[in-house]
Amino acid sequence: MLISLRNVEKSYPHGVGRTYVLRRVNLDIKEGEFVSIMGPSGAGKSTLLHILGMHDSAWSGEYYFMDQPVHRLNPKQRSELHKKHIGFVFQSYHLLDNLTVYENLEIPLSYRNVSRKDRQSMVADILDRFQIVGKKDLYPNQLSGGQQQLVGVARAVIANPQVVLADEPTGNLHSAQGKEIMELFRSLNESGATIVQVTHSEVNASYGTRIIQLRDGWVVDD
Amino acid sequence: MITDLRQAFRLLLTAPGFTSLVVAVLAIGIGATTVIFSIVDGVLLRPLPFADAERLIAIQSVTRGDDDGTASVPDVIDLKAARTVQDVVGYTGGSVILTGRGEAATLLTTFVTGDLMATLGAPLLRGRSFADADVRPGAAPTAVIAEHLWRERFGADAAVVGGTATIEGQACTIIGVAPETFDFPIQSKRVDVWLPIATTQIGAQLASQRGAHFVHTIARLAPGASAEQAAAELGAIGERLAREFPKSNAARLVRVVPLQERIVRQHRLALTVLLGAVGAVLLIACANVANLLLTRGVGRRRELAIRAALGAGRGRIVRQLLVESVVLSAIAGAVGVLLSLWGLAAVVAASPVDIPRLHDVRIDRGVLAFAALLSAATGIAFGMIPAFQASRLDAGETLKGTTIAADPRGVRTRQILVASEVAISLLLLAGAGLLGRTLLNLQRVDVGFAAERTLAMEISLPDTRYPNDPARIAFYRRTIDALRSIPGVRSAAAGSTLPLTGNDMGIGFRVEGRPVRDEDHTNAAYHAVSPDYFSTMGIRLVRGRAFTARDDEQAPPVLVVSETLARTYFPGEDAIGKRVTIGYHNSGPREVIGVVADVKESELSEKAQPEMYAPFPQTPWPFFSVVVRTERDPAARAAALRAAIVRLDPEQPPGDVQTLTHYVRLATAQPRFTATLASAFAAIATLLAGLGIYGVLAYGVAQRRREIGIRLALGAQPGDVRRLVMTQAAALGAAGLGAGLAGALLLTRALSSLLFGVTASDPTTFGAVSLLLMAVVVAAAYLPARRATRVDPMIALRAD
Ligand SMILES: Nc1ncnc2c1ncn2[C@@H]1O[C@H](COP(=O)(O)OP(=O)(O)O)[C@@H](O)[C@H]1O
Ligand SMILES: [Mg+2]
Repeated sequence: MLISLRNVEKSYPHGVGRTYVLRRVNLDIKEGEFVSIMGPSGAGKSTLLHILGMHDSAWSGEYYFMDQPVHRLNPKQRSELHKKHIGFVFQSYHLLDNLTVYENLEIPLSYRNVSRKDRQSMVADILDRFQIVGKKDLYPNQLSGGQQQLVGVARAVIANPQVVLADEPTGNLHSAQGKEIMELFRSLNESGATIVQVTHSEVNASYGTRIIQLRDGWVVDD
Repeated sequence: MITDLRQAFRLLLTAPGFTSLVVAVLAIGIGATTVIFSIVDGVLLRPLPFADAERLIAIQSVTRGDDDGTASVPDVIDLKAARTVQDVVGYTGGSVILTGRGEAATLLTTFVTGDLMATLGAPLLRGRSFADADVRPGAAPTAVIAEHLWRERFGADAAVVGGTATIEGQACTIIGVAPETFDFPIQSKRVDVWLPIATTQIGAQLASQRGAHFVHTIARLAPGASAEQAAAELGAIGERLAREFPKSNAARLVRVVPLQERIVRQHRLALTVLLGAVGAVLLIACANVANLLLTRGVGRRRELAIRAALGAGRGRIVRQLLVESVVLSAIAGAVGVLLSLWGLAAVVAASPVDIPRLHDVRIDRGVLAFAALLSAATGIAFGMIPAFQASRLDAGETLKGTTIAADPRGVRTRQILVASEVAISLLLLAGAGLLGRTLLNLQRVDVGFAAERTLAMEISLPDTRYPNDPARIAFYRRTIDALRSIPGVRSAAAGSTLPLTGNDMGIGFRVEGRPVRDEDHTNAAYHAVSPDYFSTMGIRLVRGRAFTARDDEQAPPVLVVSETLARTYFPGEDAIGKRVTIGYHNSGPREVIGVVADVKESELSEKAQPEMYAPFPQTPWPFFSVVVRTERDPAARAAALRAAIVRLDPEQPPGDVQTLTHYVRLATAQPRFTATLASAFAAIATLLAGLGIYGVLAYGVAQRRREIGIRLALGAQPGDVRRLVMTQAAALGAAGLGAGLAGALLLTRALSSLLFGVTASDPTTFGAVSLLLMAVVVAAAYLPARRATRVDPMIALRAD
């Protein structure tokens, strides 16, 4: 199993008690799956994705990633694991404002001991693949929302991760661009990558092989 | 304006932490600057306490290698003929013995050639000053005493004028009392008594010789005459004297400088350097505060935007912010002045004794005005940058409240400010480092004698009781014998003067069989010493033999010379056996019997100079210093030393007993003072710069939380994030270091004359202080860097 969640719970202190965002989530994702997480706003989708992406460490329960007990790893080990296998697309792009497109794409590589030369060719490759070569020297605020999201996706996959986690990757895109990204995810999936996306779109979900419904922190349908 | 003030105060009170930090940083800067300014003002700038002090001049007779500027008494008399100056008077320092008024006492004396008080325009408290008749050779002895002496020794007797005092064993008529407000020459200790130069036998003797250049000369410009005219006329007299008396005056030039300049000249550079250093500290403090205000300014953008939206013009906003910063600096100024009261006392206590007028320095009205002005200027200086930056805010954008991100212009300004702080700190550290190395080098100088476990005491024999050489030699012998028998004293010796004690004597000499060349008549430091002098002082005998008790007044005249004298005047030959005549009476040629190691005579930094030694009984003086080497702690023997002298002659006041270590230490007092203050300022500057860097980086980390979160989410390790902050710190540090090094290389050259054994661009010092500063930068970056690694990506990513 690639990903196994056992009784994962996440809550925030609220007044005297706690507000639960995720409740007793049990989830198994096999290698090569293309999963879509759906549910209304505030259901806990992003929260779940960030837990899977190991950005969030404040939760209870058990999480096995490639049979490694994530809940028992220290931050450094988690970060290593995440770095090796996961690419993440943020809901609000999170590009770095003072870096160019090229430099934004280079960031994940710079944290992965990729040599300078390889970095150059990998960035050139991805720019090509996403057809944004002409944008490489622009800053994020010089791009449209859709173009920024495209760069965010490109950045998530540049290091060839085995798992891509994407939080509403087409949320700000018009349908043609959205389709492009979905086609890209499908081709990544076909070449062996596991995809987990959060989406509101039935069309996008149809690219996947499985849908998980989340409501008020509960997995209601799988 | 009142509204601005009220709001400013309210604002400062609502942020007490911020307010106290700013006040503390500024108060240190203003306080330190006030202290140094008060010293510069009191020592360098303030007019001398005499009537029309700016018309007082010093007339200096200088030769190559002797810029002391002393003239001979016959020279002074000739200089009196000048029409552009009046009241020309010569003086020299010394001491005399007062007896018959309680315990015998040594009085600090100024010997004069005329009416010194008239020259200085100083009225007497009682009686009169010297008339021409009083200073003529053979005149009846007279004295003007200081008010404190009059109170302490004469019971403030109203009828003191016309009475007598026993000075040097002879009855002197007291003709006047000088008020407490009068003191001349201005030095660390107050003068007790003024006497005509011929009062002592030796004074009378020297005063008659054209070649005895030993008096300082001052005068007052004649009404209507300018300093240039005086310089021209006195210079011409000097040239005439050089022609008329080539033997003594051939190479002499007569020069005129303002009296004040002569008195403070030697301290000007050091004090100016310190003022510059402390000004730099204040600059750093300002930069720091400007930074703090900029940081706060970011938080206040909303407030200012609302004000602008409500119709406040740019001018209003600038004014409001300036009022705030001036209020801050005013409070800091008040605290700074309080700090300076304490600081001044500390600096004066730590200072070497010989800075004239230092003990009269006060935080007075002038200094207070300076501090007030400084505070206002400071407030405007550090308030200006944030005020203008705030005034350029785009109200619309800020009010939409979308971006809290740092204004890039503000960030840049802050970085430049901090880099400048680093640069200025480097400048100060480099200066302090060079001065510190100078001090170390001076302390490491081989003085040529062993100062540890020694005691020294000056003895001056009055002509009346010791009128001739046999009497003086007899007392000298009895003194050494008495000292030698004190328990715990290993050996005892005497010398006409001891090295580094502030007394030195130079005498001309001539090598037998060599032609006398007039223009460079050869001079050497000279000591008349007892047989055990070299062994007691620990001066190494290099060749030949030292004196023995057999080298007495009946024995053939002998001489011991220093290595440098031997090398300079007998190159490639053996000095031993050579015959040399020294300028002592007409004592005839002496045979050189030994060569000893070089000794520092008056300064640690001096080049090795020719020195010669003759047996005291063969060249006796009416004064000498004794020195003893003790078994253990020398201080414990001081009382015994004094008692031994009193036992020999109850009328002979025992002089100051000091260890030679004390004198060696005193020789480093001035450089130590400068180095200590400069180091203190450099330390404060570095601390403030470190604080500034910390502030900018901590603020930067707070601003970049989102970025750091994203980077962590994209796989950055704590190490990567730490590197992010460290790189920024290193960039700031490197920029500051670069600018600082360039500036330091230019500015430290001004220090050259204060340095010893180290060049103004010493690479070791520059390297060391650069490393030190870089270490401070890294230390300052440590906490922000650690905080950056603790950013929780979840919180950073969610916050939008
Ligand atoms: N820091 C927080 N403190 C309290 N509640 C939070 C915090 N962050 C998110 N939540 C709550 O958690 C719930 C789930 O949020 P999220 O996972 O972003 O939902 P989704 O992505 O499904 O729209 C929401 O109700 C949100 O208000
Ligand atoms: Mg969401």
